[in-house]
Amino acid sequence: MEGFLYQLFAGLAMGGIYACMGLALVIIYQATHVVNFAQGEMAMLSTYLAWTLLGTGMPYWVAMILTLLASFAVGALVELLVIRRIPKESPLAVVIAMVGLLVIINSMVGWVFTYDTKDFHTPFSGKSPVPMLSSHEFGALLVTLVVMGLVFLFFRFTRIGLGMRAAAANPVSAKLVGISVGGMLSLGWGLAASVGAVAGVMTAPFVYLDPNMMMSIIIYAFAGALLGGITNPWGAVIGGFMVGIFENLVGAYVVGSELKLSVALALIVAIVTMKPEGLFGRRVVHRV
Amino acid sequence: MAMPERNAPLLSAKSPMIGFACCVIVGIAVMFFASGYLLLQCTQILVFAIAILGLNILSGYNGQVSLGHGAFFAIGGYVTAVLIAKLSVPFWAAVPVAGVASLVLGLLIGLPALRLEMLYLALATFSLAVAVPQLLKNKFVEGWTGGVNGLQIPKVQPWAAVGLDRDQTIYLYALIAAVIVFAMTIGLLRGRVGRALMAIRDHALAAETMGVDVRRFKTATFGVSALFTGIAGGIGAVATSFVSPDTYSFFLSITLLVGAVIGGLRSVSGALFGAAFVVLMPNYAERISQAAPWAIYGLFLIVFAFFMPSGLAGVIRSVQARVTASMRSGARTP
Repeated sequence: MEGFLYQLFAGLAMGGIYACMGLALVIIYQATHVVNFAQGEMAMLSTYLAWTLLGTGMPYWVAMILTLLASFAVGALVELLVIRRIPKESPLAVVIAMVGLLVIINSMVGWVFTYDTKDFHTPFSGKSPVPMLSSHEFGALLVTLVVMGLVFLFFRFTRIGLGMRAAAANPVSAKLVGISVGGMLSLGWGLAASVGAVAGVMTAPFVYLDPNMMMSIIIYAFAGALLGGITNPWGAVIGGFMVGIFENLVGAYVVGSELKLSVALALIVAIVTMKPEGLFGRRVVHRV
Repeated sequence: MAMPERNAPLLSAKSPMIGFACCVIVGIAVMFFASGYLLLQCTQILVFAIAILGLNILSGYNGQVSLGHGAFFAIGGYVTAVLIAKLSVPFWAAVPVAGVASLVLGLLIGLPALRLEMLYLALATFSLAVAVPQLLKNKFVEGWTGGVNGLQIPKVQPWAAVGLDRDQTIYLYALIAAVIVFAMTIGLLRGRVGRALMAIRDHALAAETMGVDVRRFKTATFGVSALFTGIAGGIGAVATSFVSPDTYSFFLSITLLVGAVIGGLRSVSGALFGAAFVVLMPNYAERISQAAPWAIYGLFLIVFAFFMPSGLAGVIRSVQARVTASMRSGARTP
């Protein structure tokens, strides 16, 4: 029983990371109707930024805040320079461009920082208040929960958050009431990049830092976002936690850790074929 | 009225046979004039051309997407390797069997793919591409696949009776496979089947009302696409006489996509151009940095997706059209 609880809580900690990545995916999907295949790579880039800043001897939390700001700028720039110029009428071209973005970020990081794995330390030390969690697991869970709470408050209670929701829900009407729709979309990408950065920095102490470190994380995040519903941010968060727990339990008791990723693949295929709107999403209906 | 005929470009739709025959002749000539590493590269180009053609038919002609075609390349490679190494099946029988295995897998994936929109299909196949190495080395199939260590394949016997060495023999096999696959594709796409595929791509509902069986065509296309890529994987495995999970990483799927996009998704000859690009370019770019080929791939994916959707084949076609046009106007003016 105790072993089971340990697995459950470890899954919860990873679930927080998947939930963050899933939330970032949904923010972008809602704003620009693009599935950001490069989300994991953007988070990886942010983590390398944090690693570089920490290397200068900067205090951890100062480095984190600078990383979040820089990630925000990178995300907004990507929207401004690439996404805005994509002709959206060809979904195939959009998918290809997103994969191109993934490959560019991955190779540029490999070019600058080499493909060697690097140690990335956790800021959390001492004894964790929850006996089932290590101090980093507990800290990561706390940080991801706080970040998701802040994002929720931002969308719910601020003018800019409201503007962003309006721009995503109905761009034409939003423009008519004076919202800068383009600006809101850039902000959405920036925000998503920052949320992803948190996930990346919290992931690195688990898996070491290397250019491919987010490659499997993003698959779990896709699975979580699809499970919860890619049209519903909170659904995606819940989905992320569910996938974290499910993946850990199945890995520990059913298929072994080598096949965990394949379980996520099976989950994705099952969701998209049987219930593409996810558990909490709304069904998208097209007029023919 | 004979004038336009005489001036028709070699590779145009009017004279595909001439263009095709020229390519085959060049292909045979390469076998005698290239040797060593260069010939190996040419074999690789043919292998990738077959695989990329599979992706072109699926994405360019039928409008479905696959970010995970490396999975079919892997199935082709591994089935061939297991048949040759473990069951001592001769090479010429192993590769077609591997192709059929890939075809079956393609049909199995094609069935659920029918229900998916582009975005969801992209997501599912992307996940497949990432999961392939894990599927290949997991403990349930380790006995067959050799796990992380991969599988060594006995070297192909050279066809000594006609004086070919081992590299030339493998090249010849690849060339024969490429000729069959390309001829089949050209034949299919020129007729009713090609029109049906493109009609589905451009407007599935309209195609359905015109009497095209959309479900059957889409599933079959996925199968044929997988068949081609699987055959390519089989020949590729024999050429390198080794398969391992790392050979079929996520980045292999992306390499196939890059080749297809750069060559031109909606063309048959584009598969050859794209294959030449992904095989030859890294040789030069890697001198700058290990990461340089990938940086170029990524950049080209974005640039070609938006500014040159018809790829290199499209560029060549428009140059040809311009040359013929100027030749014609030159012939008219005294």
